[in-house]
Order: sequence, then C-alpha cells, then structure tokens
Amino acid sequence: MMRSLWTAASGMVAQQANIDVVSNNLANVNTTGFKKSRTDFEDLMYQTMRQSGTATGADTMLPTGIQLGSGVRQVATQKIYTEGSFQSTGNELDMAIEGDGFFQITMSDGTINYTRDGAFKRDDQGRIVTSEGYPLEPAITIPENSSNLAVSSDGRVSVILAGETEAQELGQLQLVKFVNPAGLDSVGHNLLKETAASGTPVASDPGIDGTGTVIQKYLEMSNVQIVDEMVNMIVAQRAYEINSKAITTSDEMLEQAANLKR
Amino acid sequence: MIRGLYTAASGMLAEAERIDVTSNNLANANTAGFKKDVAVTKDFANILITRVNDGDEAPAIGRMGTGVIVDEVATTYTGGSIRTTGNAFDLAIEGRGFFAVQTPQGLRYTRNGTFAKSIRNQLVTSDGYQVLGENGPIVIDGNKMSVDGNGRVIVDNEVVGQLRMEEFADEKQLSKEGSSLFAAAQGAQVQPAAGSVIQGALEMSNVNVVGEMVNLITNYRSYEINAKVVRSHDDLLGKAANDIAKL
Repeated sequence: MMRSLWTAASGMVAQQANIDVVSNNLANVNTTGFKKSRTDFEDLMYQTMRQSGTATGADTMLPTGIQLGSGVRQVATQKIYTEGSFQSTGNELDMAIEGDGFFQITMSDGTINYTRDGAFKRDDQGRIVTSEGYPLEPAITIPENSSNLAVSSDGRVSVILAGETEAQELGQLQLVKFVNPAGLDSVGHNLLKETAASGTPVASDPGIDGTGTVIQKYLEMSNVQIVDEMVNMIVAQRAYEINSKAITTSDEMLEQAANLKR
Repeated sequence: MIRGLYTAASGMLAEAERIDVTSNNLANANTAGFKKDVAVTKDFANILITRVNDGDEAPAIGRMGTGVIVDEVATTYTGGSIRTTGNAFDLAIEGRGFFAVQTPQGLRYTRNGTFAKSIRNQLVTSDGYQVLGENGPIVIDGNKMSVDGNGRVIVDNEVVGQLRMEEFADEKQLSKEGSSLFAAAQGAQVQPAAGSVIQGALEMSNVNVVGEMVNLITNYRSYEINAKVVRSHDDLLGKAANDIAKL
C-alpha cells in the first residue's frame, strides 16, 4: 500500500510536468515562430512478485505471473515542428519560412543559433538583426538612402539606391536544415541551439534541398492550437485529480490498518 | 478464532496489493500505448475442520475457507483511444499487434508509437531504441516520411522499408518491462500483426478512469470490512481472555 502511495505520487508529478508544458505553450500562443512542445510518458519499472512460466509441477507451469507497476515518468518533452499560420504584416523586413529550414543568427560570442522567428529589424549600422539585435548570418547590410527592400523566395535581398532605378543585390540569405529538429535545444528568446541529437546543420540557399522558401512581408505565427492545449489541460488536471484520489484512498487504508490495534 | 484473524488479514493484504495495481493504472491514464492490469484473486485451499476417521461414528465433516490471495496480475490488451497529433513520426496500431524494438537487452515490443528520427536518420523510440523493420532498422534519409496502413515506410515517394509488426497467439506470453516495453517469453508464438498503422496519431492508454475509480472504492471498502472483521475477532478474544473467568 505504501507502494501505491508512491505510484500515485509519480502520476501527480508527471501531470504537473504536463501542465508546465501546456502552460508554456499557451503563454507563447502569439509568439512568432514558436513551436509547441508535448510531454511524452512511459510506465516505470515493474516488480515481479511471481514470475510467469515458473514450474508448478512435473509438466505444468504458471501461465501468468504477478507484476506490480510502480507508476509513470516523463520521458520527453518533444517539440512539434508543424508549420504555424502565416500572417501578412506588410513590413518589408518580416520574413517567414515555408518549409523545414531555420534562419541562422550570430550570437555575441560568435556562435550560431537558429530561429524561425523572422521579425527582423535594422540596426544603427544598417545590418539585418533580430528583435534583440543579433545579426543574421550571412550578414546583410542595407545601405542608407535605399528603398524598396525586396527578398526573393530563394533568398536574394535587393534594394533600390537613391537616385537609381535598377534594383541592386545586397546578398543572399541562407537557411539551414537539421536531420532531427526535435533534438534542438530551446534556449529561449525564440532561439534554438544545435545538439548531438539534432545533427549538424546543413546550410543551403532557400528552396534547395528542402530547406524551404522565404516569404517576405509575412510572419510565421506560433503553431499552438488553443483548443488542443485546453483539452490537454483538462486531461492533465483530471489525471492529477484521480491520482490524488488514489493517494487519499491509500492513506485511509493505512489509517484503517493503524486502527486495528486498540 | 485465531484462524479468523488470519483469514481477515489475508483479505486486507490482497486488497492492499489490488490498490497497488489500481494506482499504477491511474498513474498511467495518459501514457501512450499503456495497457491496464487487473489483479485476480483466488481463495486459499479449503481445509477439513474435523478428522475424517474419528472413532466409530462418522463425525460431521465440514470445510472452511482460509482467506484470499492475489493469484495473478493480468494485463488487458484492449485497444486504447486514438488521438491525432499531426506529428508524422507518431504511429498508432489500430487492431492487434506490436511494433518490434531493438533494445540493449534484446528484442522488445511496444504499442507506444511516439517515435522520432535519430541523428543517424533511424526511426527510434523516445528512449532512443531502434524501431525495427523487416530488414533491420528503418532508415529515413529524405524530407518527407509517410507510413501506409500496412506499415510500409515511404520516404520521398520511395518505399524504404516495412515496419516489423507482430502479434501473439497468446498475449499472456508477454510481460511488462516498464518504459512502454513488453518482453516475450521464450518460445512465444508470433505471427505477422493483423492491425493497421495510422500515421500522425497515438494510441492512448486503455485505462478506463471511471472503472478504476470504482475499483478504488471497492478496494477501500473491502479493506475496511476486513479490518472490521479483525477488530470483531479481537473483541471476542478480549472477552475470552478477560471476561469469561469473571464471576
């Protein structure tokens, strides 16, 4: 019975973690480029009280045994990389990726992080940077007195300089792709880091090798579906509740056992 | 009278074991591919309460039960509900069958289809074990994976493998190992699975919460009743020990 207390407690802990993940998804329902996570569970180990197949006579054996499970554990929080909806913004520095790729962002220590948040800005030097000021890689600088910034679907960035009529190409955007994007490390600020599980990034021009194409003046919104998350929340809350009921029942049984002796 | 104490206590012990099983089912109410357990109890062998050949007359012979014991914990392999997830690597089996998985301990079976693509491009479980095809691990080297109902894996319009799915003539030959894995007994008879694969969906646990809550109540009440019997016996023993000799 003490076992059932711990078993039920493991269920409560698991559902708590589930709610944590759901809450984070809901909190980021309007975050551009956000990808929802999901909690995956597994049952814990089993204690074998009686092994099935044990001989019970000369040629008879136990057809089934007694195995008592010890609860549940959270095995993964998996990011789901389905595409979010696209929102037209009209801002010429907003870019969305249609496909599996990621933008590369140079951090202040020189390392590269990855994002699908294409809400880019221009900094004081004219570079294309994220909302937090980290430059896009390969770096693209927009000259002063230029207008009509255009990004083609294959990632070529061009502007019309003051006094000219022909567009001039400034550079070429590159996107990267991962073998296993679910293995990327989320570091917050809409950024992702490469890990051993994600594999090494493969960079290419947009539209080649399935990295996806760039859509200018659009943003990819979060892929969180509120209805799904609300249902997940209800399921998690009720599961938490029934596990707490199992605990109170075990507790009352222990009380009965304690009251045997008067 | 002492015998009655032990009989009632055996009831309490069996109920305590039963609630362990119920708690584990409830804890796994949201675990993909989980199959619930049922504790089955049986009565102890009856004993004769009077000797058979005692003198000339045949004395009254009765039999009496001596309590209860959990005889087996049986796993119920009914299907769980199917939940669509939209994730291409999530696979559910509708109907009978298990996915074959390669673990360091050997071949194992699972119905938890929360799979992923590993860095080596292989289809793996949440624990990183290879999901097996008919010809070894399933390798997904391409952009788009789809799985048809028969378990054929198609990557970029090319069939790259066939999921190895097996079912057991007698599912009692499987034992639970935790981590959503089942181990087959030696010499277990396997055959190709009759079930079909649904991509982008997961089979949820087959735990029926209402049923388990009712189990929780009956567990508790049987325990309580057995505790009352122990206490009644104790009262009787108390009377015998303290009151009978009083004038």
